Amino acid sequence: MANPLEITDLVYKKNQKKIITDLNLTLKPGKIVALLGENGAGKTTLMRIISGVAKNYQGTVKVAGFAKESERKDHLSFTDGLTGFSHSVKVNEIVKFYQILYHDFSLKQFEQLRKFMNLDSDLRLSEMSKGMKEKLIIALTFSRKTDLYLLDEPFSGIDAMARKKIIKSIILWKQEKSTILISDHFVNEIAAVLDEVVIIKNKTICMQKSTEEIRADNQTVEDFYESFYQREEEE
Amino acid sequence: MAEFSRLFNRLFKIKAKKLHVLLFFQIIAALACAFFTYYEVINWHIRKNPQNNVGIIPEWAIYFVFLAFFVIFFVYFITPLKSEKFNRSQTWRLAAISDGQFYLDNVLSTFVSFIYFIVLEFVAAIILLFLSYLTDKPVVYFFRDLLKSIQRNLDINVFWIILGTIVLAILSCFFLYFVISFFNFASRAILDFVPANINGAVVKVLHIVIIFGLIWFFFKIQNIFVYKVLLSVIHPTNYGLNFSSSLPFAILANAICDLILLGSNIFLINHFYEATEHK
Amino acid sequence: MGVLQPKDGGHVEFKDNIPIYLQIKQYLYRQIITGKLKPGKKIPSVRELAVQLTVNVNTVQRALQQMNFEGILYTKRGEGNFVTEDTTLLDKTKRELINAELDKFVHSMNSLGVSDEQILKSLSEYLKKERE
Repeated sequence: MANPLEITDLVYKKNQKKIITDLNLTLKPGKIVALLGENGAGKTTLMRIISGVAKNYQGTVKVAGFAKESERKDHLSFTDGLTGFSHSVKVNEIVKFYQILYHDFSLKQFEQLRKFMNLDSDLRLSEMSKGMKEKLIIALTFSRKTDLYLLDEPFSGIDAMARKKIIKSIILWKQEKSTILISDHFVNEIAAVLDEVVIIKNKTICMQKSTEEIRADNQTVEDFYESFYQREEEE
Repeated sequence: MAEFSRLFNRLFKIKAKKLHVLLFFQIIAALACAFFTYYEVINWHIRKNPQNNVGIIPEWAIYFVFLAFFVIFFVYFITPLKSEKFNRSQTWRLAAISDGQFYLDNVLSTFVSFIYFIVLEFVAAIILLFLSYLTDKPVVYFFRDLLKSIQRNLDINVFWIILGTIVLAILSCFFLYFVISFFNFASRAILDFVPANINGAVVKVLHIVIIFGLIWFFFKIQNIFVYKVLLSVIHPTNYGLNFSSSLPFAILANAICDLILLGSNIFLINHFYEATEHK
Repeated sequence: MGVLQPKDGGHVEFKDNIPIYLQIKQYLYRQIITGKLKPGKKIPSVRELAVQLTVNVNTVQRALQQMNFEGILYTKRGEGNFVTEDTTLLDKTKRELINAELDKFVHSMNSLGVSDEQILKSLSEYLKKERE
């Protein structure tokens, strides 16, 4: 089986400014991986490049062995901010859209997730809090059956209960072989569910390590992550 | 291919839904106009306008047809502009389909929804005229004469001219769509390319400047291309064509321009034109 | 959902500077020793455990694999993991757990400068007072 994600020598520029340089990353099947880095480090950009919505990059990106953008999009599920919908749209209309757009979208799975997240299907986008919206986005993302799930900062600005629900849904609904990449600028709240951390700094990936290996060195994942950014402050 | 038609259906449904609302308003507006022509309101009393000798339903039909010209014209220009937001939307662009195909879906659904709207207008007009026919005799005579005159003038040449005009209209329609997308894609691509550390307002101004620059440049090129290059190669008289007009030439020139624009748009959306970031 | 949650009365907090699979093992040992997981009985599935403890499925798997290897758990094909009925092994595990706790206790007493005899004396006095 091909690796869910393989990136080689990725370079991305915008307005003549390098945002990502010489980035290489391989993720193995069945892992939960955190993509860590401070705000503006390029986490969202990286996910957008993987998903084929950011353009004009150099290097190769393969998702489940596929390099073509249309096939990549078919083999990954990316948390989208639902910006393509008007505020008055209801949950069940969004679901209809997803059913049409993605052949691997399972309504049964969505209904389970929706009930687990305590979301009402008659709710409108404008009536949702940040946490509810994020829970809906996660439910939609996990209702597809793909090799790679990209969760872009799913925990930013939401309360502890919503966060717990989302983390539990990740554990409950993750398929054995699929890999989940979660971007965040904190790690504490999700450290226990991670297999690996990938740290992005200075426009590239500076570290990829298993969390249990970090703990085996008597270090917390949080301290490990922070040490990379502290070094920079000292320099 | 399944993805392509599914996406097309979805886009078409969304676009058609708005046009239904527009048609509804048009019918209501025409009725309101007819009402106020047929009746007058004096001192809060409604009475029949003595100067008006046409029935209210024919009035309604006439106002509807009159409004239809404006509404169709409006839809023709607004729908392609509105469709550009789908090209920019990350939610839509994440569909598991190549960007080129996505673009085709978007353009085709805009076109089909426009044709669909014209058909709806036509049907509505015919229904209203039929109602007039039932209530008002002069209308019947008017249409009978009109049909007779059309029948008299109909020969094979006229038929070809009508067909050619329809083809040309369709090609021009796509030309408008492609030009709008081209300005959108190209200006964005340039904006992403220029070295810049500038804030939102300046970006907007710069964007507009780039679009106008592109428009000026585009029509310069277009003029040179059509009149200097295409005309010298495929001028109708070169082939001794005895058509009274230059319609075939216009169709051919338009088709070539459409293809070139479509090609560049697909290239731009595949390689440069990004969906917008949401965070 | 699980056997653990109600009796447990709450959430298990793991330390983030010790491998989690080791902490899961410790947790399960305790459940077995204290009888919350009975000999010969099925333990919750990997996914159930992962959700209850809010940890990664792979980590739970690793812990259970090691416990299988040690013999404290055994796997029935297609049914899941069961607690061993081997009483000598269970007793041994209990002793090990007690020893580990005593080790910690004695270590911290020694570091306070308390000698072994004093530990014994104060412990018996303490227990006497507590039990009254």
